[in-house]
Amino acid sequence: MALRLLKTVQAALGRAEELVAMTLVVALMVVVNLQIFARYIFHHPFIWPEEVSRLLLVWMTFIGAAALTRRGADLAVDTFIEMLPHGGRRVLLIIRDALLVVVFTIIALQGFELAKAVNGMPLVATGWPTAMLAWPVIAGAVLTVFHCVIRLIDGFANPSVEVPHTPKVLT
Amino acid sequence: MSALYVVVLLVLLFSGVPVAASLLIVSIGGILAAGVPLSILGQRIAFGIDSFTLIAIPMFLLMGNLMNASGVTQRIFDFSVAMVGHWRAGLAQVNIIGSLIFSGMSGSALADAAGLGTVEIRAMTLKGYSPAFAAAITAASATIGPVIPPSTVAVLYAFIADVSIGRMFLAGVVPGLIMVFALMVLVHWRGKSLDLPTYVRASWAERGRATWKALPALVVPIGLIGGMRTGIFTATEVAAVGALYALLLAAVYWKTTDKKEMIGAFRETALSTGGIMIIVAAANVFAWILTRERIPQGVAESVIAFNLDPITLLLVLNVLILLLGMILDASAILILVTPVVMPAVLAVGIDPVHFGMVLILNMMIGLLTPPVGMALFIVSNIAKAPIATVARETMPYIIAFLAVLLLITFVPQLVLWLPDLVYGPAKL
Repeated sequence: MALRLLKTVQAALGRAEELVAMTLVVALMVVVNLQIFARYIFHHPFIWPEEVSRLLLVWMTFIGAAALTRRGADLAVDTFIEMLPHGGRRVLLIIRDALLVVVFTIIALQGFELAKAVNGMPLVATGWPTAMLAWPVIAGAVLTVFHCVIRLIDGFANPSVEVPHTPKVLT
Repeated sequence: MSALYVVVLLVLLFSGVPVAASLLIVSIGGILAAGVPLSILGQRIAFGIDSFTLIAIPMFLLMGNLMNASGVTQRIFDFSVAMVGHWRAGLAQVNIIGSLIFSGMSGSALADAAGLGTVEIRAMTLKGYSPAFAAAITAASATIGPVIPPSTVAVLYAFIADVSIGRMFLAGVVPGLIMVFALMVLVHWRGKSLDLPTYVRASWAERGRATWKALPALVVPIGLIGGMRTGIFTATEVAAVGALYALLLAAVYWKTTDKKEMIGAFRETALSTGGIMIIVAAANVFAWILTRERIPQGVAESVIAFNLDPITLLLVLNVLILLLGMILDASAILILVTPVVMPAVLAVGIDPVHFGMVLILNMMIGLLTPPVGMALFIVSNIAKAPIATVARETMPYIIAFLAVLLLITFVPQLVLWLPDLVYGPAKL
């Protein structure tokens, strides 16, 4: 029951991540084009779009990566685990998720350290806090850890269920 | 110590741990072993992708995905049918020409295979081609996409190797056209024995109409390259303009797109960007370990100690990358291999643009080779043909591409002639 609730929360969170990442893609397209319009049409270049677009990319990366983790579609070598029987594959995928939890917990903590270290430092063009570059790292890492923890609980509760692990990313 | 890092990394990768996480695990180990504060992790991972150049990657992906959603694929297909449909093995030639045109507005082979590929495979099987044959030529022609500009892997390479994106883009034109030519000759020759159906030759009026309908797509490559060469736009800007153009074409001018596909284009872009860029971020941490352990320098020193000439080094790297390409995704290979071998490549006097194009063509062959040929998976799915049969059908094309790879390895001028002509000789 509690697991069902958690999985509902996870699915909603996953949809939210994808929605946010998609919105960032739209924003990125708009901001870069705005800069071009400002330069050639209004002959009045802004200085902020470059900085904002870089921020958008960093946010898009870490939120998008978390969404990919939920889908089990992060880029990985699947050749060998695909050859294993269900039991062996399950063990490796559980180890994978456990490693992801450890790594991204460390990343989240170091993201906090970074945010603290650059506290009070403004970005050059916008004057926004430099910590805005650290926040997506923290957000993405925390979300990734959340997805992996749910998957681990689910994996232990339902041993017969396949853990998602198919890369679908475009090259 | 350096060997240990490599072994651990390979074990993690082969156990199915995501590429980014594998790089981070090894990096965390290395940072702890070096007794350096872990805070370097946060800085490297966040600031490593804080780059205006890298924004070109999601924007080119978006342009390709939106073009796919816009229904332009049908227009490109109709245009190609009008031009070459009456040739021997007509629809296979149409497939190749269609991919060539689409590659001028998309930076991704798999977007090509999935988008245009669906139209092509459906038409070919309806006309009596075997599904496996249709799937194989679709996969092969799709891999031309990232060689011909624009190309997201070329942007990634230019960023990592610190070369001009413009040069990198132009470097792909001649090799891409040679690949097209090789496929066309091969298909023509196979058409003799297979007795493949063709179309009736289109009249010039029909050709004119097809050209007019496809024109908004046909002019895209000229606009992209022209915009960059004249200095009006940077690569990132040209990509963003291209994406906006594709959006307006689909939503306002042609009005062919359904909302769901459009949203799908944005979702695909966001997820693909996350997947690639998280590896770039993780690789930026890993690069610190590489540098600290002097691994790239070590590689360069042994290359010099063995007195390798440029051709031998390129051949050795080709074999290595082909093997990697069988198990690893193309952009992951690029991100992993480039920083390690770059000093060696420069030390023996190989032009980094030449090396980049050899690397990219090689990785595209990797999309066709089992077990992890992503292009094979996609086309087999569309054609509903067994992947082993499709893989067998793809063999002649792989051999042709290997021949092209050898050709551009031995004759750097084929790669460098156009960028040198347009931008002037490289200053090394």
